[in-house]
Formats: sequence, C-alpha cells, structure tokens
Amino acid sequence: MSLLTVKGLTTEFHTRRGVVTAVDDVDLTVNRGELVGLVGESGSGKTVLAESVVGLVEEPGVVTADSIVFDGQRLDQLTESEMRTLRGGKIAMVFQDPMTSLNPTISTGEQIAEAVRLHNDTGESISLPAELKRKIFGAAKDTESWRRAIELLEEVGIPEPSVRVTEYPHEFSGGMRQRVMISMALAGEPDLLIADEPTTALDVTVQAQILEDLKSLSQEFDTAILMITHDLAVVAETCDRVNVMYAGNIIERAPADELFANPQHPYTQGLLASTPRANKRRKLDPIPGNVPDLTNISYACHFAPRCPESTAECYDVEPEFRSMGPDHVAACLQRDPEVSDRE
Amino acid sequence: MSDSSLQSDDGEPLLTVRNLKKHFDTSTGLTDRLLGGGQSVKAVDGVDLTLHEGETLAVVGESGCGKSTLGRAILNLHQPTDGTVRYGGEDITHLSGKEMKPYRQKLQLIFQDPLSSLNPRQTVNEIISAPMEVHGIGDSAADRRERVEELLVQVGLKESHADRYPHQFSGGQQQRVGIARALALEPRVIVADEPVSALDVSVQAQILNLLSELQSSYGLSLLTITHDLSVVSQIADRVAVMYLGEIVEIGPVEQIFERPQHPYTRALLSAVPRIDAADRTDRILLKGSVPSPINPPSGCRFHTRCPEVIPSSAWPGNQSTFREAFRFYNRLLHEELEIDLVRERLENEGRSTDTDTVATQLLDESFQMPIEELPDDVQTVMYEIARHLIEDNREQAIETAQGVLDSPCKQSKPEMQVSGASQASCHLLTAEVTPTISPE
Repeated sequence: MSLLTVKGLTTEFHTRRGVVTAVDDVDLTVNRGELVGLVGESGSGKTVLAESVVGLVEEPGVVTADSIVFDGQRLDQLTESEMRTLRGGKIAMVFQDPMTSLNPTISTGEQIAEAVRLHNDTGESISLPAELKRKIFGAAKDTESWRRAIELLEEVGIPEPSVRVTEYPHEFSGGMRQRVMISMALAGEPDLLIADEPTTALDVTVQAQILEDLKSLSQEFDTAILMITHDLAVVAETCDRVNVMYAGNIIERAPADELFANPQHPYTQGLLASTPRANKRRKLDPIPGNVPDLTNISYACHFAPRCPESTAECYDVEPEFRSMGPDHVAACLQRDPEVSDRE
Repeated sequence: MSDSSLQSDDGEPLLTVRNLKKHFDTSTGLTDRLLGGGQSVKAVDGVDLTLHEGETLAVVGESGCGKSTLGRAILNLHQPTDGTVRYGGEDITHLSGKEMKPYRQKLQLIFQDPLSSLNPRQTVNEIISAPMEVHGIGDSAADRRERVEELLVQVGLKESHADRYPHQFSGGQQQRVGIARALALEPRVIVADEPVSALDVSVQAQILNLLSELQSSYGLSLLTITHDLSVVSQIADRVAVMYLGEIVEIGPVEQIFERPQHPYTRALLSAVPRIDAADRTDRILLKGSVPSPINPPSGCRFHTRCPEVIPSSAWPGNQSTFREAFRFYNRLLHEELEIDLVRERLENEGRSTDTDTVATQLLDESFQMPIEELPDDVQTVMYEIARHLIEDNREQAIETAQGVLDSPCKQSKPEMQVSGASQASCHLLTAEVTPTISPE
C-alpha cells in the first residue's frame, strides 16, 4: 500500500555559523492515492524535507537517510540522471509561485508538450536540436504531445483549451497558471504529486477551485499528493492524514479528522489556539516567542522553550513517538501513551 | 442610500468617505495623452464609508479589487480623482503635503511587509523617533528616546531593543516596531494594510491581540485592509466587502458572516477553508476570472461571474440555463468566441464545417449539458445567435442575444439596500426586480 517510505532522513546545511539541521531524523509515509498533509510554520523544514526526498537539495546541504523507498525503488541510491527521469515523471512537483516556474517566452502548450515528450513514449525526437527547433520556431501542432497538452489543459479545468494552449504564461491569471503547472505535473502520469504551498499566492475563491481540482485529480488518476502548507484549514479540508512539523521534526501525525478534533502535542494545540476562525471571534491564545534558529540546537525537544508544559526532562530526553490512539502519534514526554493501542 | 443607520449614537464619525474615486492613467507619455491612447484603471470607483471613534472597520476583497488603493487614497497618499474624505468634519481630500502635515500625525499607516517598511540603516530608536522629530514631539533627543522605550514596552519589545537594527528582529518583532512607529505620534486613526499576512500563524495571533489591546487602551480607530476573512472576524466590528473598485456590502461582522446579502459575499465566505468540519458549507465556485478594472462590466460589476444572476424576463428557460447562456453572451460581447478555431478543430477531426455543425460544436462547448438536452425554446434562440455569429454577422448576433439575454444585473447599477445595520448592492434585494423564473 505504501508508495513512499522515508526512514531516518536528516538534512544539514554546513554554514559558516555552524550546522543548520533543517530536517532532523524524520520518518514519513505516503500511501498510494492518499492525500497527506505536511504542515508547519516557516522554518519548520517542510519544504527541505520534500526537496530531500526528490534530490533537489543543493550545496551546502547534505542529505542522509536510512532509506527512502518509492514504489519499491531506493531513491537514496539512485544516480542524479536516474533521479531526473523520476522527477516530473512518477514524482511531480507543483510550487507556490507558478509564474517563476514557467518560461515566459515559450507558449504554455509547448511547455506542457515538452513534459509529455520527456516522460512518455510519443515517438517524437527529444534530441537537443529537435527541442530547440520547437522552442524557436514554435511547437509542432500535428503531434501526439501537442494533442496531449490540450487534453491535459482540459483535464485541469481550463476553458477553451485549444485556444489557451497557444498562449503565453503572462496571458493567464494566477489561478490558471497554477492549473497549467498542475497539467504539466500530470504529463508524466505521476504516482506522487508534491504540492508545495500550491494555493498560498492565490485568492481564496481561486484557492477553493484549485483544491477541488487537486482532490478530484487525485481520485481520478489514483495519484498520491503530499500537500506542504502552513495553512491548517487547507490541510483540514483536503488531506486524509496530517504530519505536523516543527523546527526540523515531525511532532505529531494523525488522520486529519482526528488531529483537528483531538490534537495532542502542545505545539499542535498552540497552533490551533492561535488560528483565527472565519465565523467566530474568540480570544486568540498565541504561542509565545518565535521559531528557534536551527543552528546547533542543543536541547532535545525543539519546542521546549516555547512550551507551556515543558519540564527539565524535555530539554534532555529525546521525545519518541507515543501512540495517542488509532494511527495517531505525538512526540511529547508530557503525554501518556495510550497503552491499549501499543503494537 | 445614506448610511445614517450605521452611525453610532455619539454622532459625527471620525472619518467620512464619500464617493471616493481613484483612477490611474495608463498613458505613458505626452503623445499618448494628446492622442488619448491611455486608458484609466478604475481602482477605486465611488466608495462611501465611515469610521467611528474606537471602532475597527475591515475592508476585505481579493487581489486587484482596489482595497489597498482605497486605504492610500483615504490617507491622501494617492491624490483622489473624485469624492471627499473628511476627518473630524474637515475636508482633507485635496490638501497639499504641507497642509496635510497636522493630519498625518492623526492618521497613521502600518504596512504588510515589516522589513521593507523599515530603514535597514537606522536603529529602532531612529526609526521611531524620526516622525516625532518631524512633528515636534519631545523637547530633546533624550526625551524622545524615553518615549521610544515606553512605546517598545507597550508593543511587547524590550527597552534595550532601541539600539538594534531591523534585520536583527524576527518578522513579528519587526511588525511590532512598525506598530510602535505608527503609535509614536498618538494617532487617532491607523490604516493597517495586511498587517499580519506576512507572518506565521503563531506570531500573527500575537500581533492581532496586540492591535486589539492597543486599540482599547488608546481608543484608536482602525481601518484594516485584508484578504483574510478569518482575520476580519477576529478583529473587526464592521466589514466592507469590495469587488472591482466598489463596496458591494458593508455592515457588522456577525451579521454579514451569518447572513450575507450579496452573492459575492456569499461566494467569498463559502470559499474560506475551515478547520472545523461543522463550519463548512457548500462551496459556491465562481466561474471565470475577475474582469479588468480598465473597462469594468456595466450594471452590477459582479454580473459576469454571479451564480445568482437574474434572468431577463424574455428568457424561455430556467436560471441555470440562463446563467450558461449569459456567460456565452458575455464572451460574445468580449469577442472571445473564436469561430475559426472551432472550424479548424472540426476540420482536423474530419467533420463537416457547415453552419449547423459549427453552431452545435460552439454551443456544446459553452453549455455544461449537450445542446440537444436543453428546452426547445432555448435551443432555438441559442442556435439563432450562433448562426448569426458564424455567418459573420456579429451585430445581428448581439442584437438577438440582447433581446433575450439582457439581465437587469447588466442593465442597471444596483443601489445600496439597507437591511438591519448592513447594506448591500444587489438587484435581488430590490422589490421591483424579482427573478421571473426561480433557480431550479
């Protein structure tokens, strides 16, 4: 069932000021066709974790892992060129700002068609001269990849795809551009789509549309989605399971309904208490202080200095996951494990 | 039309905005201007609002609706094109920079991005004391320094932070410095443009709480500009919903969140993702994108996207078929129907390109259901329009469409309708124009 299994992943950046441990010994599982949320504030390491999985961490970052298994394949043992085939193919990505991820000088159709050619056997040449020719003289419109580009635009809900396919990124609105990105991601018929803050730059009415699209595409193509976001409400509405990250660690993991109904980790509880709700005013209970600097953190639980419940023990003893209920774990020494549910 | 019903008992509002307009000229040079080549972007187009002593009014809307321009036009940072802004009874709309100076002290601004609004080369002490110096507050530097330290403590920072530089603070702390600077002149009104949208959730809550505390201790009036409806319900007393340069609904937060009158407000609220499953309502997905403010739609500006658009009395079908036919009509008017491309596609597929086939194809693409499944009267009308268009007779097509598809929402601008303490501008709220055919 499991599509992606990450065990013991650590990503460190060696800087002049010291070692920044952006991701600290993290386990993560994504099942086939499942919508998994990875939620955290800025600096929690959620984006670096995803980049580490797909081999996009650059110097001076160093990724180590016990194992990263995707669809039976050890990703941590692949060469860069094998990894590149996988990215955009079986594992696709969508980022926050679609404008910076699209080439402004090439029609959207040709950009999608290129993704189709690279990851599918369309019988069209993908040699450098052939690709250059298409970029300079325009896409060949009587091809399989071009027809597929139109189909993909239609699948992500762009009206009049056969007209829009010839247009350039600047002719699209923000929401439409994000749909173009999603259609490119779908070109390789991915098993896993990593969506990093896919709706953060969009208006709320457009966000609603894109989230609906992602959900229905996931069902239609049985694609698993790893949704990375800072927005608890987005996760609550779209995801099956949620991982909460704080300062490099996943500190709580549970099915979405269970997490929001019954949060256990003091950080998750604090985050929910500080989130305003659209329909009721209540006194917000903010978490005091700020997210810590991840350089050379010396204490065991990274949340301890901001935690209302922390004791001296929290600074010394590494908190292991404790079972809080069916499929629900939290890494906090102050929580009694639910004994009945121990494996 | 008057919003006297919104005024609190203590009479005269602190800030009164009447028919405020801010249009930006897009002409790029003298020749452009002489030849009339430029167009005007109607960023704010006739806004009325009032702000009372000690209240928080939130202006909410999507990007490009003109909410930030409104805030700046009220503060006279953008010279308004038309309309008036009164502060405490004085008209401040057309004051020069010099004449504006005493009012600047009373009207302050907090920005979205705290770092870019703070001079990186100045210490916090210099940043906060600079406006005091300009307005002659405090007798000496030492005096002002003392005041700076007081302010820092009030916004939750330490006295010793006065000697630090902006980059030495976290985002939340930088926003606190920005707030301290705004407070330095003891203003009566603060315009906060997306004050927390650049901050993390846990820090955002700290700043929202701080703003509420400061407001009650200083008796400040707050005009908050935001895209975030959760923030609105958290801090505002009243809310104004903006769409394409106009306020479509304004009133007390609870009333508008619980019983929104305008279809746009309803759609906006339904789109907000909710943490608590019980709060979720059926989502109203809006079709199409926001039209350009250069040439905004006639009548009600929301009519091109409105899910509740009122059918014309001549329409033979129901509201849902009208909605789709109406979208077709709007695309016809904006020359977005590309007959050549439809023909080309049919040719590529090896199908006939006679008028009827092209018409069917065109209509099928516009309606969610196959055209044959629509009521006969609707089919007849739509085919007639499509045929005119295919035979290159666009005027005739528009004329036919006008006859059956001119919604009252397109023909005339809805007036603000008062309902309790709130107001909304929608034809559905006026007695004279009731939908002839109810939505199925």
